[in-house]
Amino acid sequence: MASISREEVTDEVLMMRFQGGDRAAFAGLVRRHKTNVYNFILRQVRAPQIAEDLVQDVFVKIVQNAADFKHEARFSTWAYAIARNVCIDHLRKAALRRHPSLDQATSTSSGEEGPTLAERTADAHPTASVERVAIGAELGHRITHAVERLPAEQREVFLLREIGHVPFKDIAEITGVPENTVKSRMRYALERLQEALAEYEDYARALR
Amino acid sequence: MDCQKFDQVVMDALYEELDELTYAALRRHVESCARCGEAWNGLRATREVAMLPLEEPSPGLEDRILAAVTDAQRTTPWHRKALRALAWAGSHAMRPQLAMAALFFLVIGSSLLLLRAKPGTVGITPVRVTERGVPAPDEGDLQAPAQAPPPPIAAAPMAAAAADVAEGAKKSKDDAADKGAAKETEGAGKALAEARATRDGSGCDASLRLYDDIGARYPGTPQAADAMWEAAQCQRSLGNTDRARELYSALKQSDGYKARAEEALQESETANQTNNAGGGLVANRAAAPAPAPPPAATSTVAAAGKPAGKPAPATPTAEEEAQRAKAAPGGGPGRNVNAAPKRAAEQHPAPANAAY
Repeated sequence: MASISREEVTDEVLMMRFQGGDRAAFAGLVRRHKTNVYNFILRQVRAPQIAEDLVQDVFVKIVQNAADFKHEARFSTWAYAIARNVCIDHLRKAALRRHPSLDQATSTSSGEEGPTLAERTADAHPTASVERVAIGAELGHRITHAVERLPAEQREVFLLREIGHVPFKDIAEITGVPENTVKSRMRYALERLQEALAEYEDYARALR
Repeated sequence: MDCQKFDQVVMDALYEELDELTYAALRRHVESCARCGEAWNGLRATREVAMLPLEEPSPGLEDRILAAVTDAQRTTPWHRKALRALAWAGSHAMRPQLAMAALFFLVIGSSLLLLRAKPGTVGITPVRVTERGVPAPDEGDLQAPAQAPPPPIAAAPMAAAAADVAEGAKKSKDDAADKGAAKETEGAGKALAEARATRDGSGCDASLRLYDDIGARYPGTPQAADAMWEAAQCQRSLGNTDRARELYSALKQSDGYKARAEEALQESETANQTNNAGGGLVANRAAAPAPAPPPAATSTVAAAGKPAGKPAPATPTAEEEAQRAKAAPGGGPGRNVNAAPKRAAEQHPAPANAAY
């Protein structure tokens, strides 16, 4: 019951309360958004530990830049813009440090059999994807895999829309590309996923 | 709706960002269009199926986040604090009330500036107009001529003393004034000598104008006072007692002649009273011998003026009488009776004056 009453308060109201010095309001925002932000980052960096550190960075930045938040904007849009920048910074630094590229596993592997680093690290969390019980764990792995293999700009749009629930207009603002381009990227991403999941369609249809 | 429009709005429709009317049009289109229908069904199925499974982060993440946030808040860098303060001030500055107040002060302030610095008025002093109608350029210049006259008063009898009295700060100015005073004294002296010569030569009547002229041209100088005194004497000898008294009154202002002028005034007053008491005929008769004594007793200058001066009084007196008769409201001889003693009284004090 308590969770329902908390849900009634919008992110923006919580943010306003936090700006007024209410630390509990910020704890509410963390509770509400930490999982989605974590998944948004995880699907890009593919390392749970790094993803958790980055989530921490994102919330610290939210606090530090709380004064910049304008209440006419959506909190989630603002927060995901910060999360996106944190991800981009991390990936750029990682590339500079010549860490083994996370994409290399798929690009060098012949076919779809070779598991990516993300898949290997994801396996360390057997409790993943518990919410979508209708879809089997196998399908979940296939989807995650397909999303991780999407081109970065399509994956970014897909994650922002599917995990962040950011409207296309705001995604265009965050990524700095026209809204039509954002929608095109989204459509391409969905079509790729459709292809990747073709062989599981019957399975999924059977589950429905 | 056509296929092109379908491609534009299909994503909005899929994620419930489309208005109901367009959504209904899309639904009608996909039912009639095989290509769009297939695409729509495929995308919708994918969206429903390909829901990305969300992984839960480790349970301790929330606490770690809150700890990190608390830590970050405690150690907020000074420049970030400054920026935050600036942002706060900025957000307040943009509030309508403050903006209006700022605008108000800006408008008032700028209008005051404009009032003060009205074009064409800077550096131009107001034009002053003197009695003569000549524009005086500056206040300082205005004072200079005003200061110039005083020295001449002291210049003639004691030029050195006048120089001492003059203030050291305006020495050069005063020097110039002294020179001017010396010139004036010289001119006044000449004019006085000329007037005396005229009086001696042509009589009091002719010299009066010259005496008046000295008074007008060299006001305040001792020569002017001399001229006034002599003019008064002349007026008295001519029988113009009123005019003489006026001059005596004026002379009371002059230091050198104050006592003499007062005395002369008093004498004329008493003479007037005596004559009034005496009666018209007596006074009239007394008027004839009266002019005689003064020249006899007065200084050489006055004595020299006597022969010339004697015939002169007759004419002006007659004229004066005629004028008074005309001016008098009654106009009859009765009035003349009154006028006669007055004239006698005017002329009578002369001997008393001679004693001086």
